[in-house]
Amino acid sequence: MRRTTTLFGVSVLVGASALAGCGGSRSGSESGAGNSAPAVAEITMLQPEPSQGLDPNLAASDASRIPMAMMYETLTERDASGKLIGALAEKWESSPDGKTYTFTLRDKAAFSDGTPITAEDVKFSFDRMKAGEVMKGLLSTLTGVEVVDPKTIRFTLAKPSSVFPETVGRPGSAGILSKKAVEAKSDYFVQPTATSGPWQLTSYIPKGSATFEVNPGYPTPPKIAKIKYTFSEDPAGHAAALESGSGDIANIGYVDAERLKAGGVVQVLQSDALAPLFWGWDRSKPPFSDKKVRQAIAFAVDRESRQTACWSGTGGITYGNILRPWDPNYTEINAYRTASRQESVAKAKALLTEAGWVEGAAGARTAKGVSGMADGAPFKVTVPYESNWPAAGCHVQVLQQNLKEIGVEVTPEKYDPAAYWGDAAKGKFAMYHGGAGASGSADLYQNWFHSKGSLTALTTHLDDKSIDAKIDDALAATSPEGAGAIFKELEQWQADELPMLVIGYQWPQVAVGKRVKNFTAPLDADSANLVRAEVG
Amino acid sequence: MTAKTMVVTTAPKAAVRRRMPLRTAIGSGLGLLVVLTVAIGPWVIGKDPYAIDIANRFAGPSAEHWLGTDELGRDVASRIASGARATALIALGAVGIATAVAIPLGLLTGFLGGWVDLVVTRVVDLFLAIPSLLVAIGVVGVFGASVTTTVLALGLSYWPFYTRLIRSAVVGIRSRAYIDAARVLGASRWRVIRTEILTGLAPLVLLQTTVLLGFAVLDEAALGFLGLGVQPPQASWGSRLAESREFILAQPELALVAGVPIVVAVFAVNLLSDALRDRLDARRIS
Repeated sequence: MRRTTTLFGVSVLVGASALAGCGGSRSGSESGAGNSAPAVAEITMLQPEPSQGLDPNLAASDASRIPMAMMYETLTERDASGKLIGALAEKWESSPDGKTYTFTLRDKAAFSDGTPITAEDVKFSFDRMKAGEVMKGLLSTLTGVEVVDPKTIRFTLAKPSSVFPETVGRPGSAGILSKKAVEAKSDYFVQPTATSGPWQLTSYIPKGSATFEVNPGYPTPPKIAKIKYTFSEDPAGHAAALESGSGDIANIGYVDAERLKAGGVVQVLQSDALAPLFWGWDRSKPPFSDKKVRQAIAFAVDRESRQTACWSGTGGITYGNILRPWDPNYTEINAYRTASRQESVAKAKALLTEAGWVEGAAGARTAKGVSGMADGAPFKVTVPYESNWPAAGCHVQVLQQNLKEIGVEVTPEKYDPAAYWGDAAKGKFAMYHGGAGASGSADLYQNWFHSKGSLTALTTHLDDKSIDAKIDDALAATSPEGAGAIFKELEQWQADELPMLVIGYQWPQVAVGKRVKNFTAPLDADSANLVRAEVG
Repeated sequence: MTAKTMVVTTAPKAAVRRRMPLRTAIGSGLGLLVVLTVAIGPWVIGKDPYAIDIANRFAGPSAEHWLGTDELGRDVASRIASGARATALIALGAVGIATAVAIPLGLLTGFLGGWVDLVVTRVVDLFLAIPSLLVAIGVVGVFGASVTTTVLALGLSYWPFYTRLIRSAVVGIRSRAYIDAARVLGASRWRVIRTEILTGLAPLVLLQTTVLLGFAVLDEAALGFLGLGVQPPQASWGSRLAESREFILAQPELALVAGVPIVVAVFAVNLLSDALRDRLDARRIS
């Protein structure tokens, strides 16, 4: 019966999802065991398909950046302690005025086809990045790329930048490409060959899986020789695969993580990353054009509840800061921390009343003398969130209950993820949910707060010349202390002004099977963590 | 000669007590449970289905929370009862739309025949070539997910085969002798349709509507599970199933509690429609 099979089909789908990645060879198998062939360390990763493709100029999502970081190496990268070190670059130096950077490439670095990586390839890659969507904002001050000799490349900037070595190490996006290989094939990025990263792509089955094998020309060859990269987006299925041993590395849900950690089945790696979760808003019109309203919301949002409910207690929370405590420019701000929930609600209500949103029947807030709003208009807001992000749905539902306490009606709206950020950039949303990552204070303020920042239109929507000038000054500062003083000032300013409301952080969380050793940090940081890992 | 009158008397027969078939009894019992859940469930439970209690998330069944709490500490029983209303509304709405489209079209094509029948039947055939759930997903994709869209989506996915069914029945009834008799007696087309054909269709419509209700509950669950039905935080049985999926390994009881009402409702509808079919099947009765 058709209808009966519908439900049965759904059940089968659940089961199939849960078992995703279970097929194929035993992950991490030592191929050749039992015969004389050398053992091949192999693991299975369960990750979303890179649906945006593998062109670093077009693909910006983590789903694409993770495999791209495995295939395309950058000039710099971070080591296990977070220190910036050379990747393809052996060393670099800057001119005294901070406008010129010269990088020297490693002698032995080669693409996977054996051809050496030269300064010409680096120039080609950066000229391409300057014209591409993903990196053009970050490289907006880059005015020239000059080949000094086959192993030396010089970058000239319009303004001094202390963060340029960090920018050229952006995993996946700032990868170095083979000029010869890219120019030889118009469809090169369908299945890229001759790549600079630790692994090379050897097969790609759409909607199925990809296979990566080690790049023999990589300067520090990874110990894991082969990676089966199964496309899957089901965190519950990933947990089941990790538990059964048919998967080795995957993102899993927070509830499953707690369960698996308690059972000692897998290692769950989290890192205190600067990956703010925030509420964005349209400050060009009421109600959020009024700072008091924004501050009222900041008081009303119950950060602990959100963290407990949506992240099983993991990840950080903040009452004013955006930067994390490990950032050298961090100074604790507790602008919206109170002694109790009752006090927070009382402060929020008082601010709303001051802003002209008076309490009416059944506690609902209505406008009274609010500029741009008719008297009696209710305080109602539709809050969209990405439909493919379960935690976002959870956040909005917690927000709905939090704001109900102060008389603000929130209607959650599940939104098409493909259109979400485009519409956020166009200013279609009065208030919306967001989350993104930054590497540190310079990256955050340059790309989220500067009018020319790559993420400004998606986050703060700022177009303020005085803020731009401060950020430019911080980036051009010749001493870390000079830059730090400005970043601290900006941090205080945003906590008061609230161009966006940061409420916490999503800590990248990766579950790793017990056989994988020395894997120390989440995947989306860089493939360097995977390079250091081994099958034990 | 006197006439003798023989009076034959018979002892009164004990009234034959017809026992309700077991499946009808079970179907009625489960159906009543579903109806009561929809009608008075939220009132009896008396909890706000949207009120979150983070400190009490994933709590087990207790006197306070009969079926425990979910991932946000909301009362599961009240969300099931509240979701029952949304699911019932969607099922009834969808079947209502399908019936409202199918009966006039089926009557028109079956009774008039000719080019009207040809054109409409080809259009119906075209729609029948597309899986109904795919039609529903398409409608939700275009108009966005909501209760209204789900009703519309399911209604639009049901009308083609329902129209086909009605048309076939009308063609069968149209050729009966009593229809010819009515015509000969001067009854107008409208009168024939109204008094003869519609009356003849009534059992079929009743039966098909019941069967479709079961289908609609399942399809609402499927759409909800895919995230295309009722949107959170509003509850429906399908959306509860989707919400519980994330925790299916850690808290499997949530998925179980979300699935049981769907099974019960569909099982009840199926048993009742079988009973109804037996009751209305003239040949079986004769």
